[in-house]
Parts: sequence; C-alpha cells; structure tokens
Amino acid sequence: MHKMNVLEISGLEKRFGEKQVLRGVELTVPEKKVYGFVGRNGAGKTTTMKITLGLLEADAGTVKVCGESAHYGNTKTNRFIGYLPDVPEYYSFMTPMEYLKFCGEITGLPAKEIKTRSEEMLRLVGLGEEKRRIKGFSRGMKQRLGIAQALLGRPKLLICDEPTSALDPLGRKEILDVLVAAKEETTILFSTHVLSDVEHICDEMALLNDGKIVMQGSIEDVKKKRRSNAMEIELEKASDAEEMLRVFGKGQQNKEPQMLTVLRPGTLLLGEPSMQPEILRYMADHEIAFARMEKREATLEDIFLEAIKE
Amino acid sequence: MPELKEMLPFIIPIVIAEVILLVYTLRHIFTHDHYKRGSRALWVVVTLVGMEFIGPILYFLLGKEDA
Amino acid sequence: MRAFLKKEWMEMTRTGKLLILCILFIMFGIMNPAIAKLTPWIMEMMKESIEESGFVIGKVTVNAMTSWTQYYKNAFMPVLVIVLMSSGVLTNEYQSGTLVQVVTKGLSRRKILLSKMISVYCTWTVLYMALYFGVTYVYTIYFWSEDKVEDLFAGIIFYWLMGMFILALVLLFSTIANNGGQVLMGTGIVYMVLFFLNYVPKLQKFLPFRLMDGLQLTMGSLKMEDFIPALITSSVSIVVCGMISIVLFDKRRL
Repeated sequence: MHKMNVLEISGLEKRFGEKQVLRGVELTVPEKKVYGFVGRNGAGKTTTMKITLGLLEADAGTVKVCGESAHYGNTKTNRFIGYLPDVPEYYSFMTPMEYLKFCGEITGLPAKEIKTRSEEMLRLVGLGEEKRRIKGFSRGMKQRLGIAQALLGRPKLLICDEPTSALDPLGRKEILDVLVAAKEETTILFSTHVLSDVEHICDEMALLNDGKIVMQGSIEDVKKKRRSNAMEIELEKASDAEEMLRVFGKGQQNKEPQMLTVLRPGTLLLGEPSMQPEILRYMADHEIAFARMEKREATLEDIFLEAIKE
Repeated sequence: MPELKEMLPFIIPIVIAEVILLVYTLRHIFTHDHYKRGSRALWVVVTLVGMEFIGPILYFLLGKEDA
Repeated sequence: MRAFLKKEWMEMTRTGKLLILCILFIMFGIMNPAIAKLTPWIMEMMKESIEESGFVIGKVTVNAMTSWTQYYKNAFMPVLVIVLMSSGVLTNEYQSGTLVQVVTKGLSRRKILLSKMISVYCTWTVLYMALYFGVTYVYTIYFWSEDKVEDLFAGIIFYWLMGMFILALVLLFSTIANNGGQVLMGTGIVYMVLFFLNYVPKLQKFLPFRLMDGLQLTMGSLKMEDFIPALITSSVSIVVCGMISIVLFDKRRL
C-alpha cells in the first residue's frame, strides 16, 4: 500500500510583530514514524505546532493533515490529531478517569469505548490506580496524563510539544518509554531541544533553525551526511598536547587551516586524515604517549551545532 | 428590640448558613496544605473569630489556593 | 456540549462556588424582610436624635411594601456577586490553558461559548428567582400576608433582565480580555457610561437602568408601558452582545 504522509507543511510563514518567527517551513511527516522536531528554544517549534492545530493563524503557507488542509479557528483536521501541550493543564477538580471521560465525550466517542479506552490509556501511562484529583499531580504525572488524553481518540498523529524538557531524568525516561509504546498505533511528532531524546526514540528528524528547516531525514541519513573523518587523540600528558599544538596547530606554511585543534585539555582533534602518518611519526620520534586514539563519530550535537552555524 | 420570638424565623436560617459555611471552610482549610497567604493556624483562627460570615469569606477571597 | 456543561456543573459544585453563591443569595434574600421587621426598632433608637432636629415621628407602620423597598434597594448586591463570580468564567481558562485541549479535542468554539453562556445565565436565573426573590417572597407572605402588592412579579422580572444584561457584558468582555480584572473594568466602564447617559431625560426610558425601577411600578408611579422601551433595548443588547461574543471568540487566540 502506498505510504501516505500524515503531515505536510509547506511554505509556512509567521510573524509576531517585528519578529519573523517562521520563514517558509517545509516539513513532511510519514506515517508510523517517531519524528523528532529539533531546534533551539525560540526557533519556532511551538509556533509551527500551534498553526497545525489551528491555534495560531499562519501568514503564508499550507498545512495538510492526512491530506486535508488545516486552518485557523475551528479546524476539522484536529480530529486526526492528539495534542500534548508543553505545559499541560487540566481541570484540577477532576480525577484522571473523569478527565478522560470528559475528553472522550467532547470528541464524540461512544460511551463504552470511552470506558475501555480510558482504562487502557491510563494503564499505559501508569496512572491506572490513581484515584486522586489532578490538583495534586506532579509535572511528570500531568505530562503522562497528557499523553493518555492525547491518545484517547486513536489519533493518526500525536503532537507533543517538548514533552520531556521540564522533567527530571526518571520522569523523562518514563515519557520516552510511553512514546515508544505509543508508536505501535500512531505517528508521533515531538519537538525537543534535547538531542539524546531524539537519538533514543526517533526514526526521522527535522532541524528547525531561525524559522527554516535546515536538515531533514532519517537519523542514519543525517548522521551519514555529516560523517566526519576526524580523529580524536588523547595524550597521556597535557604538556605534550601543548607541544604538538605548537608544531602542527598553525598548519604548514601558515596557509592551510588549522589541522589540529583542542577538544578538551589533553585531547586534540585531527581534522585532516591525510596528516595521520605525519602526526604519528612525530609522536614516535618525540616519545609522546597517547592514551586513546579513535575515529570520531559525528554526534547529533555536532551536526546540530554545525547546521545552525551556517 | 423586637421580641426574640418574632425574629426567630430570621435567626434560625442565618445560624444554619453560618454553621454550614463554617464547617465547609474548616474542612477546606484542613484538607489543604498550601494557601495563597498565611498558614493553617492563621486561617483557622480567622475563620473561628470571624465566624459570622466574614472569616470564611476572607479565607476564600485571600487564603484559598487557586485550584 | 453536554459534556462541557457537565464539566461546568462539576466545577461549580466541587470548587464550592455553588455553595458560597447559594448561601450569599439566601442571606441577601433574608436581609430584606429582616430589615423591614427591624425598622420600627431602629426608628425607636434614633427617635430622640430625630426629634431634636425638629421632626416628629408618628407610629411607624411596617408592611409588605417595606420589605419590597428593601428588596430593590439591595438587589444590586446579588448582581455584584454574580458578576464577580462570572468575571473569570472564561479568563481563568485562558490563563490556565485548559481550553486549548478542549479545542484541540474537537469541541467547536461556539459550543464552548454557548455552554458558558448557558451556565452563567442559568446560575443567575435560578439563584435570583429561587433564592433572592424566593426567600424574600416567602418571608414577606409569612409576615404580611394580608397586604396586597400590585404588579410585583413584573418588576422582579425586569430586575432579572437587568442582571442578564450586565452578564451579557461580562461574557462579551470575557471574549476579549485576558484576565478577570479586565472583564470587570470593561463592564464597569460601560456601566459608568450608561450611568451618565441616564442623566439625559430623553434617554432614560430606553436605558437598562429603568429596569431597576420595579418598585415604582409596584407603587404606581410608573406604568407598564414606561418599561417597554428599556425592555426592548436590553433584550436586543443581550442578543447583540451574544452575537458579537461568538464572532470574537471564534477569532480569539487561546
């Protein structure tokens, strides 16, 4: 069967007063993927999501959810979407079960379905036994309840806005686990500025910087594209590192770019692989001992930093 | 002062309302640990001293934590 | 929409709002006959000081009219209380962000606003009619059953409509404002404008303020037809406010 795109955003622009927040965002989210939406704080992630949900009006561009276009105000496309806001708030006088019932009723689910589905969802997020009212809930519990309510109506697309950023490591892991479990039945778009989260659970990602998507694709592709050949050389003595930096740091005849840079005190980064023999020869001649020497894997962080520099 | 007997139809419901409000307020104070301002002891005292409506009303206006 | 109304009801009962409102409205209702009943005693207390200033008081007679005079004099208090309580009906939800989830769950904005309108208007109607009016009425009948009071109910309903008009303003400003304070300010400003307009004699009979003069109707100094223009302007205003609210709320950022 032809794989369809759950979300297609093209040419999206948005300006808040003087500030141009989105400058032509292009984003395509395929079905049944966990899609990481990465960017710095203030890059425009939340704005993009809110436009998708019809909570903000776009200045230009189109948003299509499951093939139907979304627009500001009452948008029918919301029936496909489950949404978890960055700081979810609920009617605090209700219990989780009551809140899910309320959600199910306004979505128009049949009563029987609401009951079984609510129980199922609460179990999934680990709130099955919670009989207290929402008033006393912690951030993590609210976040988990948020996922439960977002998944209640079996949405085609689950949009999570920074679901992990306000949580402690344990809470973060719980949320990630729940999202991985949810992947079985829906497509997930989640925004974050935490790259390790993306590496853990995402299949694909897009990097938003300064209102534009600067990189998009599967995690492996993104990493491959930027595979670096750099070597990391950690030396036994920090003084040796300084010496080597003095010799090779400037580049030959002071023309070429620096081939050796400091990564951390005592650890050097060799950018040009062709220089390897020469470096090793120098080290052998001067009896410089190294503690570790390895090919450097490009981490998402490097890619991220490189991409936003451009 | 008019005869007490004549005023009873007024006094009885007022007393009932006061008691309901008092019980409700105290229950609310004791089931909550955090207040907008003040402490539990303060609000119990205020509620009891200003039993005739003003104490509970003060609590709900100034002390009750937003839900 | 049923679910949202149910939620409103749950909120009213569980947060204790309903209890507080009921107690206050009952108190306001009791106050009117109670003050009427106490009037002779108060007069007695102040007799000397009044007589010193040259007035002579004969025997003070208290009747049903005394109670109804108090009713109209104090009726602003229930209005004020319901306005204060309703000022946060939408703004509190904007501030906490709870409506965002309701909207993204697919409940249309109109249904949300309509539910809010129904719950505010119903609360006012029930509390005013059953408690404020009801309590005063029962006491007044009990103490002064033999007194005949003309056109009582019409005046009562006029005042109720005045409350509805103010609440329509509250709801209208709730669709624009960001917090309860702004709602109260907006409503207050419109109230003040109307208050000053009320000094223009030609306008008086059109303004909603006329609806508060139910006592004059009961006493016979105003006739039913004197209220018709105000009834019409107020009803039309309520409907127009409602329609503007719907338009504004559809476009509002949540």
